[in-house]
Amino acid sequence: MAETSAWRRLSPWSVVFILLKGAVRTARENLPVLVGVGAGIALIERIGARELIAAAIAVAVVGAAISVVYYRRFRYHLTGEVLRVRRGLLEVVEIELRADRIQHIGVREPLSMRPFGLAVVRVSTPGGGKHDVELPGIRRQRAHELVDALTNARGEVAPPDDDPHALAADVRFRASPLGITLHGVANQSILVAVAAAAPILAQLIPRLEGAQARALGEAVQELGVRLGSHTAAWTLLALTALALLLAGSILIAWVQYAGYELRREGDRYAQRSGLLSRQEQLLATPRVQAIDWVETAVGRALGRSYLVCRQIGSASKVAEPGGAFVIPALDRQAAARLLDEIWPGTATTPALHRPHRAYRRVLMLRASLPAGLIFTLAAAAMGEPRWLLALPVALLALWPLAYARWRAFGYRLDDRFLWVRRGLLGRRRVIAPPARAQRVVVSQSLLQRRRELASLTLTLAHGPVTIPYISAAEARRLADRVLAAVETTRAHL
Amino acid sequence: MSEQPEHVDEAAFANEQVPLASLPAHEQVALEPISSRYALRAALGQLVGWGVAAAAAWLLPIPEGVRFLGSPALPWLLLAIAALASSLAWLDGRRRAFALREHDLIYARGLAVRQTVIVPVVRIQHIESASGPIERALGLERLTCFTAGGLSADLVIRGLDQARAERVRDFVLRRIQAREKPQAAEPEPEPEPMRGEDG
Repeated sequence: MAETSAWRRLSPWSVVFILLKGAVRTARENLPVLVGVGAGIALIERIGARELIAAAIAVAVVGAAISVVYYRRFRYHLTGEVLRVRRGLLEVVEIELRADRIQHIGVREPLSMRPFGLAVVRVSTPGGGKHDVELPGIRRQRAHELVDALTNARGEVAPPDDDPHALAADVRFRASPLGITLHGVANQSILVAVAAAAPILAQLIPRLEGAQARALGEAVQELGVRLGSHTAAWTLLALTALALLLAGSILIAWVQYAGYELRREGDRYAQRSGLLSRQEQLLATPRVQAIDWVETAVGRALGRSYLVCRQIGSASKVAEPGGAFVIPALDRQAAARLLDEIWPGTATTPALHRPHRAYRRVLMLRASLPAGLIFTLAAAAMGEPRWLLALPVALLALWPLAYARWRAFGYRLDDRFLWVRRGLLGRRRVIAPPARAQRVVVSQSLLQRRRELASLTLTLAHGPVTIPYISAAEARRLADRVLAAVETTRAHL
Repeated sequence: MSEQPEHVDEAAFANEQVPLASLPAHEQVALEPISSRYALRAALGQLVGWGVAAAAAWLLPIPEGVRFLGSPALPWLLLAIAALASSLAWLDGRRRAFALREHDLIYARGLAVRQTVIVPVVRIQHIESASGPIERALGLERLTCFTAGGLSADLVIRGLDQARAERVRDFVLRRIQAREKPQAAEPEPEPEPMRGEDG
């Protein structure tokens, strides 16, 4: 264990990365403004290119100065089981983290840092994002020493330094190239990326020249003439778009998960992956709060799923790169095997109960409101009231759908685990020991009260899980059971 | 309960947990109504909010071309909403109730959708008390409890009079402290219950 007794600094190279990160963050936060400015080239004409360059240099110099000051003020210090970090520009903040409070530890080696042998260490606490600590750029070797020291202080078994082969033997899962590719196909991460970029696209698309849009239309027309059918041309266009989306998703999956390896090291798991940037994450088994077993609709067809191991704190967010502990590209057997390893007895989903039949009607109503709205809007937009006649047909079609969704929902609470399964095409199972619940809510609407039904919501580390429309007595009984489990557990995190 | 995950230590606790019929049932707890002054505070809050909107609709110049905002009925409509919202808030305020058990806090609220929120004291990381001007004038305080990981409050108990709020807060704080320093305080993780404090 590398116990350090003096304050340490970041690597000097980190100045560059602090600057880059600051620039990227500033740019991202002010993106709409930047796009606006970029489009308004009139601005450049008015103030002149020379002034603009001068301003850019001034901004860069100020940014560099800020980075240097930030680097010079940044200190970290590990004694025993307390990690202290002192940071800040004008107002210097000192954060103290006790190792046993730390929930999530991750080491990331961004592509840009790899030539310099640097890594970013990130630790988070149950308190939420405010007290998360990031060491932006320390030597890789030191990063790993620090992580080992912290996990040791947490009472976990770290790998012995002298025998790396002992670890290699305990690889619990390795994602195959095919697995990663299928993971990309199943998860369509590109859609998430597109959704994230939507504000920018919304800015850019109206700026596309009408001529470009016309050119695309003409190209398709021409293709249609050549193929002899316009439908074929548009189908080809749609297929190309789909193929691009797929390729993008596969690429994202590869960038994120290439070389994925999950190892067991004593009481914890470590995973490493990444094509360009490499990340390593640690998961202490006793700290797992809940596991999501996710099969997307495509993933179910391909027999692929992934597990999300939830810990307390902001690190549970999947959206953040290297945030949640995701075990990707699993086939059914591998998923069941890993689940059983983390929590023995969870390999097979037990028989689940369904909510009350009244829930079908609720699902139906929830689905038909948007349907009614869409049809009304369509009828209004096209000026054809005939569209409204299609509404009853659509509603009739929604009935079996609501029924199927009701059938797909299942829950079970026994002494060891809470199971909640939902989703018609894609399927998500949440598995959590009831003792991990943070809060229990029993709620009854007017309708539910008349039928003596209730909904039970358990707030887990990553958010609420609701069991809707069960009998009120059952809801109360389950609530009491969860409370008894929480209140008899000694582990309070 | 057969085998438990390793982090659960049932032996540390002697609150008879099995069989299920003997589990303490939260719905049998006699919830104490919160302060009767809270209904007034809730109604006033709604009245002030909607009343300001109504006053604005009445006084402010109407932008040209916006037909709906120009309608002379709008301030009256807003006033009607104010009356409705504040009477609902008043009714809800009358029905709110809470209880402090040895291991959890219970808060019941809501008219149409009745919610019973239960937060185990072991899960509370942090507790805050606060009061706004109306609450201070009425001698009320609200307690906000945060559990781990949540970015927002997990339980807000509104409408306790100051003395009761202070007692609840102290109870929870003492429990948090005892939990944070288990070695220093006492070897057993849970301190003795303080049920007597709250009746």
